[in-house]
Amino acid sequence: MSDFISTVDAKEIKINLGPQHPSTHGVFRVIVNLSGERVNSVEPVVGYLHRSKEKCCEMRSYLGAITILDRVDYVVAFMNELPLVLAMEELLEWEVPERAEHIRVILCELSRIISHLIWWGSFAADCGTFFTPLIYAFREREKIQRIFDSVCGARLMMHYFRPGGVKWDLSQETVDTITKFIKEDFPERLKEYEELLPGNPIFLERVIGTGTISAEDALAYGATGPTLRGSGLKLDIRKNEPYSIYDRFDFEIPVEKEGDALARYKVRFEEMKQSVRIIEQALEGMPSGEFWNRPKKVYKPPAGEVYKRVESSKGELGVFLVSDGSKKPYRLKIRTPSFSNLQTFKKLAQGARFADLPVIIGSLDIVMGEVDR
Amino acid sequence: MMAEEIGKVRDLKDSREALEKALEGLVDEIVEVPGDVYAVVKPTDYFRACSRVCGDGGPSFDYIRCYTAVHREDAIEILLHLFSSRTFLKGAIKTVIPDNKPKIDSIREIIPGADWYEREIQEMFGVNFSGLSSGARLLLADDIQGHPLRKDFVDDRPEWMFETREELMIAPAKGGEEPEDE
Repeated sequence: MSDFISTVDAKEIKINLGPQHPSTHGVFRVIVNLSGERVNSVEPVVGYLHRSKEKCCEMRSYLGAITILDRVDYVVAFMNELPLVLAMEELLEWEVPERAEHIRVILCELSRIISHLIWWGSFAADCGTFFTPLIYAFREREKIQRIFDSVCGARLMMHYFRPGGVKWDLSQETVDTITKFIKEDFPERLKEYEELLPGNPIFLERVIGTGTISAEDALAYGATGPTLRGSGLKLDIRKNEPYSIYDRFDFEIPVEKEGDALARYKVRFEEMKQSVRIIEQALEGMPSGEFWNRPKKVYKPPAGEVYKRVESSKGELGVFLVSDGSKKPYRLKIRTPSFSNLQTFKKLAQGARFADLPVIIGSLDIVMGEVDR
Repeated sequence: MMAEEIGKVRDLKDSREALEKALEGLVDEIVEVPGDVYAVVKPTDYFRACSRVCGDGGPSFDYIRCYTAVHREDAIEILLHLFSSRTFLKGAIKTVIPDNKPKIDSIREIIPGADWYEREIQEMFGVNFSGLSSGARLLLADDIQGHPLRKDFVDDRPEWMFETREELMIAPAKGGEEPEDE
């Protein structure tokens, strides 16, 4: 097959993929230069979802900025709020009650599970399964979404974390639901999902060796999260530079060496298991008491600048906040993992087959809202 | 069961020393902010400073944490937050350029991942990077005039598009007090 492809002596043709195409996960356009079936180079075109979120944050109060942050990566809204809240706490020098820290960790890890589940479902669809995994994934996601609904009354745009804690307390009923989900329902399902595809030769054919990138290249292009760890580099902000109370939990950072789509697939599955471990520990150690160190007045962080980063489901998510002491952020830069991860796509696509492009894009787990902001 | 040992980001003191040593003769001053160390360099030395801190021997930075700009009065600050996966040091390079003639060298030859960040800064702040991969707009629509993240940016769209007035964005004070978070 490969001999046939290399002997096709066609001159280079340009093919346009997207911006409205099911395999591009949002509005994302790729101009592909092909010779035969081989990809010579690609030119990604982004910006279709650009809504000037950074400018919007500068025009709003700090509380308003949290709502904007929710909309950056709409799959994991809780995680998006965290870096801004951490940055404000750093400037305000505020303490966070113990209970709130536990609540934050539990909700962030549940978000990570949601994100990886959605990724798994849609990636499997990219690889040719006809939506069965996606429907399975949404079944588990729905259970978590109901937990979120009972926590803050919202399913997607949470607006729940505050500097100094969280907006509402977790009821005992919700805690019981989470405990039941994490201890009984989910691990069993996860095992089932994990075994569903990797035994399938058609699936393996599509993912083994597809979109291979070395650790050096991934790092140089700014890739983080499972994209980087799939290439064998053990970097995870939860361990390297622990924020919140992640330094208290016992969990591992899954790493695969191959750097291909299957490696990233395995890393994400392993991460879901580790998330379950973290949530179990956080639930066990959760104290009762205060959940919010409430402000007396409107938030006005003193003048200064700080960069805070957290490990989101896709990689390093950071907020660079410059405050001039007023009610509004002077400058708020949102550093998103998908933006950098997508830069590796140019490298990944070189020499790949045209039919593999959807698999490569899918394996990066990009959310265009995060790329374009 | 303990997890396998994973590198921790090193102390800011080490970063400070490493930056001072690597940028000897180039750095104007070293500034400490919460959680970071900035090495302030002249715009003309920016490329050289970046290649020194990213090269072997010094802090060996190999990864961009964040790359952005801030517009203050009549100057634009360029801030490059770096991290090293080898030495676990972190630090930032900062340079200040006047906003009427903002020009600086691109560092994408040193770290290829800088490319999109620089293109973003170029269109948002009007900073001209020499040696970018493409001059095309990355995020903004082609018909937007000016550079939105500059403080002197004037939005010339018609007024009806701004129905959400300033008062709505910051809730009005009740009874003379500033509002609580509610």
